[in-house]
Amino acid sequence: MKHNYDLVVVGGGSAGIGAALKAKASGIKSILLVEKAHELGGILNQCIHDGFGVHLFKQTLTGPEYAHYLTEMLQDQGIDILYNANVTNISAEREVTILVADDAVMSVHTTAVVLTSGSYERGAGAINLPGQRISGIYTAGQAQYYLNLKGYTIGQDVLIVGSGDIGLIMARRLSLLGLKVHAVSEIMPFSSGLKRNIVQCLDDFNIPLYLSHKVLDVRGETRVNEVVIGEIDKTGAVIPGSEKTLKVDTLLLAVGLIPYIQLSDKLGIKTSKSRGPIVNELCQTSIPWFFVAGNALHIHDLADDAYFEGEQSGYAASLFINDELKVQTRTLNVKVGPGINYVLPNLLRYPFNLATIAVKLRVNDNYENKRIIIRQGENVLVKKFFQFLFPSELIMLDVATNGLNSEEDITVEVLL
Amino acid sequence: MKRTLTCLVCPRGCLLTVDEHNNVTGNMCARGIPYAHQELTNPKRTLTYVIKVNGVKEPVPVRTDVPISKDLIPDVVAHLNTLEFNAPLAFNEVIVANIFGSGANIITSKKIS
Repeated sequence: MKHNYDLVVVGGGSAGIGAALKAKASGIKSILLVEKAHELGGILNQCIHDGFGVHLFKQTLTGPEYAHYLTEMLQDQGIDILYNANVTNISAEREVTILVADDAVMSVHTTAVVLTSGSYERGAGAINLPGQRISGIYTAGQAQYYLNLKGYTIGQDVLIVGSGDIGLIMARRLSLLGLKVHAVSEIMPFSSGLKRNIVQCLDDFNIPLYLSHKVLDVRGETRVNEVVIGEIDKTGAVIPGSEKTLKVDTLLLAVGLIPYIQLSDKLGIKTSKSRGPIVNELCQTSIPWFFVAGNALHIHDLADDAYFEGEQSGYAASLFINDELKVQTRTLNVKVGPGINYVLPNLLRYPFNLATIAVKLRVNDNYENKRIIIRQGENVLVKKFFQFLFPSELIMLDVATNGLNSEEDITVEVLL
Repeated sequence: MKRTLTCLVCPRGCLLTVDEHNNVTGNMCARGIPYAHQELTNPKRTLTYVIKVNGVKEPVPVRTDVPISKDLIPDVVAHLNTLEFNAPLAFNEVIVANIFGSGANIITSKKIS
């Protein structure tokens, strides 16, 4: 272990490994990758289902298989890896404080940081879950960790709240284990999960999906013994007579992820609508040596996309470390127009350092037969037609920087 | 009789229609056609699961190396729960060959030293 590094990468999941490998390939010699678990791969290790890696590895892999191949790619690269280690602070002077399990607190100095610390789950408080806070209430990822990595059981009769892919995949996982999933309850009038997961995770196991339903009560003394759900109308009011009482001992909350960015928060780095730090096209924050990628920046649909974003941040960090970035003279804003939930990057630095910029966005509602445009002033840079647009689908569009001027802000919008 | 089904080949999830002459429509790519025929005659899925390995504290993730008949899955799961396994296990090592004569192997998803 050295005490000075060119680059410290915080988090050894898909994005962090992408960042470390790309920085290494771009000529950065001393890199430290800090991982809180005893193995690399992050959340991939508990995602035992398959469907990962279609873009990066050109085959469908399980999460542990994906982690295995990523770990292999890191071998013999000369990248230092610390396991069972938590970065507890990064100071403005670039001192990185690391708490290593069963060992001392250590401190290293670095030239740049890539934060790839992933995300955390929204919990009972975030959805104002009514009723008792009793045993038997888990977030979906927590339950997945207990079942797949620890071998614990969590209960017998289950209601899952939230029909995104994580909720759907847990419905199948629990059914295969012999638990009874009574229903999946979704507050929106549609599922944000993939259609194929509705089929292979719910329909295959005859699990009902209740759309436009919310939890009205969670009952029990010390352990959940029933949960009441009811249908809501367009105003959010419960439709009288629609209440259903489900005799379950377990409630799984699969209600969304939020970037985990304690370390950039401590440095005062501001966040954008994605809930991650504000960044330019280089994944660079307002602190020039601090970069962010993966789910710490915004929630991804695919591990592959987190990996590729990690690569972008690792490449950008290498430009910074080698002092190869053009001196910035202007900042252009990337504005969220009509129909858009969030867009990244939030800013562009001029003069540009890249030939193309990957613009990533989510729409704010379901749309059919609409165009998304990216324009600078009145000059349309990208115009793309979509038969269907869903908020659950991350959209990526490339913009060539040679078509951009140095003056005007960029706007991304759905042509409504 | 016409039948509709959701294609599971890729994340797009095309809504397929199969008519009485086995003609498939609604598919955005060629992979939807054999998928629809398979799904109507013998639907198959990839099974992923975890097993217990003697002396290993954590569950070990496993999978079928190719999709197996949906009908077989409960039996395969029950069978895996009865078997004993020992470390070490190599990555993608075959731990049950040709399970129930399906042609599919159960392989590890992770190396266990």
